[in-house]
Amino acid sequence: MRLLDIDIPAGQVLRGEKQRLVMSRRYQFDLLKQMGAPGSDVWLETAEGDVRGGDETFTERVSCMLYQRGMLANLSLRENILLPFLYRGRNEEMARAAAELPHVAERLDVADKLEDQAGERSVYMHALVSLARVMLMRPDFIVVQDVHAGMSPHRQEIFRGLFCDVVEELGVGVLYLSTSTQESSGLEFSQSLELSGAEEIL
Amino acid sequence: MDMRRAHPGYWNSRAESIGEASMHLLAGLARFYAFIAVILRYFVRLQWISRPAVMHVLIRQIYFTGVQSLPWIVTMIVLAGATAVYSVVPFARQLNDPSLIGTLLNALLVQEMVPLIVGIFLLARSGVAVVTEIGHMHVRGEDMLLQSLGISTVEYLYLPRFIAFGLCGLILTMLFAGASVWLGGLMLAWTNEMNFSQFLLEARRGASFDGMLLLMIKGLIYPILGCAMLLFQGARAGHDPNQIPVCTTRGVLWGLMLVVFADVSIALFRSLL
Repeated sequence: MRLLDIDIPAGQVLRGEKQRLVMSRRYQFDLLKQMGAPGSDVWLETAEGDVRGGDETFTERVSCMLYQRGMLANLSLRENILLPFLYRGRNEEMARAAAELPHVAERLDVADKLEDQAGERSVYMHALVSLARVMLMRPDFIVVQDVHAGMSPHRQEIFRGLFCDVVEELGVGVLYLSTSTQESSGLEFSQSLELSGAEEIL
Repeated sequence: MDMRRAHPGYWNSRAESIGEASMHLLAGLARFYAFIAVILRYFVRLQWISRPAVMHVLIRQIYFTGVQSLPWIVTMIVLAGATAVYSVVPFARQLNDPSLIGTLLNALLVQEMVPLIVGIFLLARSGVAVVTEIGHMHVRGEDMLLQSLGISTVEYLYLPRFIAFGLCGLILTMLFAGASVWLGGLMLAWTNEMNFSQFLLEARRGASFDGMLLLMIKGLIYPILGCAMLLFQGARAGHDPNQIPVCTTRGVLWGLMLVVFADVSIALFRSLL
């Protein structure tokens, strides 16, 4: 895979490894857009063959947690968490996700807010909804875009614990996109790459 | 004579700006055509029927566009019905030809006024809300969230609104046409201008299958065209919040232009047949 000016060898980012890419927000969005575009240069290597970015299977096996973009404002938190399942419309999956949602919401301490409309929410709440979705989707791999940034220290500590526990339980590979090497995900990265000129353009 | 106009460079620059504007317009039309084609492709695939998330958006849009606008529609039905009958009936009486009542009501109110009123009403009420909502979703980056979840923005954001506008437009147009004639007749009877049964008989005489078909086509096409233009403009807001009011104004004006253009095209086409 070629990411901007870096060659990433085949089989480099999976198998439960945690990797970090430090790059500017603009590059992060470029990469995330590439992942979602049909026929993109990003793919997931699986035993059954390569799955291209933009493919429905790809989005089932690779989950994204975006910075301050975890929810649609006009839906309730419940609808937001279940959105990918409601979109695919597979009855078994929907029933499983709906049955697991109360436990997930309880664990993330959002059970009493599930019926509230999302509207404008904090970075912490966006991150929690994204995490809840990951817990229900059980992907092979997570692409995380600086979700820990911009939280109060207290919230950040709570979220760091929850996030690390979920990553550990699911045994997923993580690609962490950050604008700084000082990020506070709490993950131990096997590799960290910093792109030159990663600092934000003011 | 103005010296600037005498200079050949003046006319060259004029021709260049006209050419640029024409090319810009054509490119915009091509993009709009491609946008509608993508929506129609998703519509024909029919996968949206089996997607609860899409159906949920569709139902909410139908409720907002069709059900919540009913008080406004009823008010306009009363006003349009009264205006039409109190213009047409005295005119027909002056000419001493009661058969004109049905013919004029059918030609003016049912086939021309009603589809235009409903199309413009949907554009002004629900259309503005749609562009603003889509524009805000883009500004908040919700399109990127949908993409990351493997959700097609066309199927989830645009298609349900497109269908809702078509469906509500058609139903409201038919309701408007029937109820405005009926209420107009009741008003005439109440003011002792004309017997209600006689009025309905004359209105029935003026109605035709072709007229009904035309009403249905217009009732479906005008809201769909307006909605497509509004969605197209909403999608162009990008991530700049300052673009939302610009896109809203542009969407409503172009939507209005499209509706009027479609009306003129249909009239020309009919006159050629």
